[in-house]
Amino acid sequence: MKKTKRFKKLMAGLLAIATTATVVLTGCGGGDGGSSGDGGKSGNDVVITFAGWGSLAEKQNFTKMIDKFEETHPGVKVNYQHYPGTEDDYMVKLVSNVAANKMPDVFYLPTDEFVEWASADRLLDMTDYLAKSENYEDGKIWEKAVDMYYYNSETGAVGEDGGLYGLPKDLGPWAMVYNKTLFEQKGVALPDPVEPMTLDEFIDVAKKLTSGSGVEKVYGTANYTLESAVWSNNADYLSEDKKTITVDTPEFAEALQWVADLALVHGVAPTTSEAAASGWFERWCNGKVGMAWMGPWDQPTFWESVTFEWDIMPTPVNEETGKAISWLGSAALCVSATSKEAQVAYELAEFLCMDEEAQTINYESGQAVPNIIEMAENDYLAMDKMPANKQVFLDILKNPEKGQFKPTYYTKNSSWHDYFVTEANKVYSGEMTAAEFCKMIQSELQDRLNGNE
Amino acid sequence: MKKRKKVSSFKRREHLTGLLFIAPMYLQFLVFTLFFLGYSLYMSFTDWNIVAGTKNFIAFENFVQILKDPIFWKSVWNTVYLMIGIPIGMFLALLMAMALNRKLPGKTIFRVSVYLPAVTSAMAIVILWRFIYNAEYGVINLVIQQLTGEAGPNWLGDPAMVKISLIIMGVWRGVGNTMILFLAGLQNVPRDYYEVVDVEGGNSLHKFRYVTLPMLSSVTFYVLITGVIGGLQAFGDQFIMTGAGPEHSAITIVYYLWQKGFAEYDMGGASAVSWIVAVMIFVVTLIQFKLSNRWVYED
Repeated sequence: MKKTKRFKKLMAGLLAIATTATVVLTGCGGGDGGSSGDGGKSGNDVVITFAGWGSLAEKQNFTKMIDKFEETHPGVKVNYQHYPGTEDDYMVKLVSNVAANKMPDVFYLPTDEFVEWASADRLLDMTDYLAKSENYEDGKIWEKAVDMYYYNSETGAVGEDGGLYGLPKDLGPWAMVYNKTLFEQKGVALPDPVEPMTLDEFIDVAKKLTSGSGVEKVYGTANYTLESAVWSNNADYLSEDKKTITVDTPEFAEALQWVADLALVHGVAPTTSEAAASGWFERWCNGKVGMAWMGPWDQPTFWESVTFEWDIMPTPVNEETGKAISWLGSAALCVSATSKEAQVAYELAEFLCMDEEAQTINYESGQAVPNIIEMAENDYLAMDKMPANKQVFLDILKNPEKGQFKPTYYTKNSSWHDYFVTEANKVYSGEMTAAEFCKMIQSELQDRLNGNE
Repeated sequence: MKKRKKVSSFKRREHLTGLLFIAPMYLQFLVFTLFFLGYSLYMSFTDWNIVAGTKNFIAFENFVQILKDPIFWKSVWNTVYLMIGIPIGMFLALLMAMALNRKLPGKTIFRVSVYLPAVTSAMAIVILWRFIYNAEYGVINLVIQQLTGEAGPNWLGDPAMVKISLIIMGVWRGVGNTMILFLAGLQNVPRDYYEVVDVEGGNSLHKFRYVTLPMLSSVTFYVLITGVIGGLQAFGDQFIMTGAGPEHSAITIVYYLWQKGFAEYDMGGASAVSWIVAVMIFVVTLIQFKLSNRWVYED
């Protein structure tokens, strides 16, 4: 009895010592940053790490692009860390890397994190690297896409002015997509490829497409993107200087109410309850909604699992303001400010962003619209795959009056926006009117925005 | 008290050996527990942002901010609300344990099936229940639809239903474990105590009231204490199933902590929340221990 107890204690002690030792040792090992060698034969290779999230398709895609990079850069090995799952899961991992002082050399950064990271000096200033680059000249890639990753450390403003802290992985226009087969079945005229519908026409069309009940229910539209409704109604989330929350304007409330009423009054979109049960993506893929919103990154899944014909259409226009605005998504390719191989790391980011071979792989697999303008306007437009009306994507990309960045891109922390989205259920469920809600929530949001300044 | 005598070298060596044996335990405690405890306390007084790398001393600013935040109070309310599941689970577990304490046919099968959730991966359970609760395709609502012809509630999407959904799942998952504890307690009750009741002319209600319940009081106390501590730390179900919930209806204190730390990178604030939770757990447990003198019967 005694012996076994002693033995157990001894084992516990040994285990404790072993654990301590491991932690201390790995802790020391972490000191040399991202370039953790692979310990293989390649003693003289430069090894850099590259981290990103995304689907398995995206992983395969980037593996191909990285292979190409290694071919053209002999002596460089890229250690690709792919995180399946969502952007949020990935950010948790990235933050723990910061804490452990083991930042990857090159990594994706969501746009709503950009200001926070740039202002924290975590990102390499690429201005000089880009200036010296032989692969880049003005007008080669979408101007907006490069401009958006400038950050001015004195004013805290983003866009155009300051240092360049990232290159665009892609620039993704959010466009309205429709189920062509369903339109034809219901005998509804197809949307014009150039002229946008008005918001009233949109509701009419959605009504004609709505039918059935229960599991057979088909809705005219999935839930409408609030940003689009708000911007098109001359409203915005933030003031010009991005310091004041402006959701309490009548225009904002009107837009929010319009979106909520699609389900509450017109019955042409899923209710909050139904949307919680199955999201727009599932409904769309199953042919249960006539119209929805998509980004280019949805193309591979649609090609694979959507059995009907579909196409994209111009963003519906607000007839009073004459505006039809949607949002532009992006993710940055950033280099860690502490990277020991900054030059090589920059070259990888640049390669992924604007090399012709890499960009070809990227658009052919359907991941994105090419960053290279010429390629987008020729090869991509000519690609024989849905959507047919790819010009809609390019229009949102090119025209500032058709595509804007989400409000969270401009602010250091997006918790104010998360708060808004969670609480907006009060309007979508019909518990409160948009006007009441917007008035009530403004100061809450403002506090949250200020708290993060 | 005797005066200290000179210790023989043999004894000193034995002392040393003894110390050596307990050293790892203390070392582990110092390095992995006490150090971080102190560190997080200090950090709760700083504006530590993990991305920005700031660590300035800001005294009680974090605590003031948290106590002023309506979402924090919502999370406290939700956390307390969710603990309704503890007494419900205990009651059901006791009923089942008493049923199983008799000679019943199919007892083993019943015991295994009730205990099964306790050995199933928590992640798998929560994901499964997310399907069960699906407002359109979930099995519960399909049954309700069949029976009544009306649509069932929006279990996870309606702020009024989310907490109830979480409680039902929590009770289902925890009841097996609690039942086993009660069962062990029941089997430890000496037979002759019941015989005394028989001799005194008491019925089975008397047996339950004056023998079973007092004899189970220490198990009950254990279940209650661990349940409340676990309840104050609720996080995993929310993390996988609901997030903060519509209108923050499912947010718990620890989920709030997690959001502060990993969504806002405000580790200083997160440390402060963790200390608030720690103090709450300490106070509640202390009160329970004090009150336990009145109802926990030690054999």
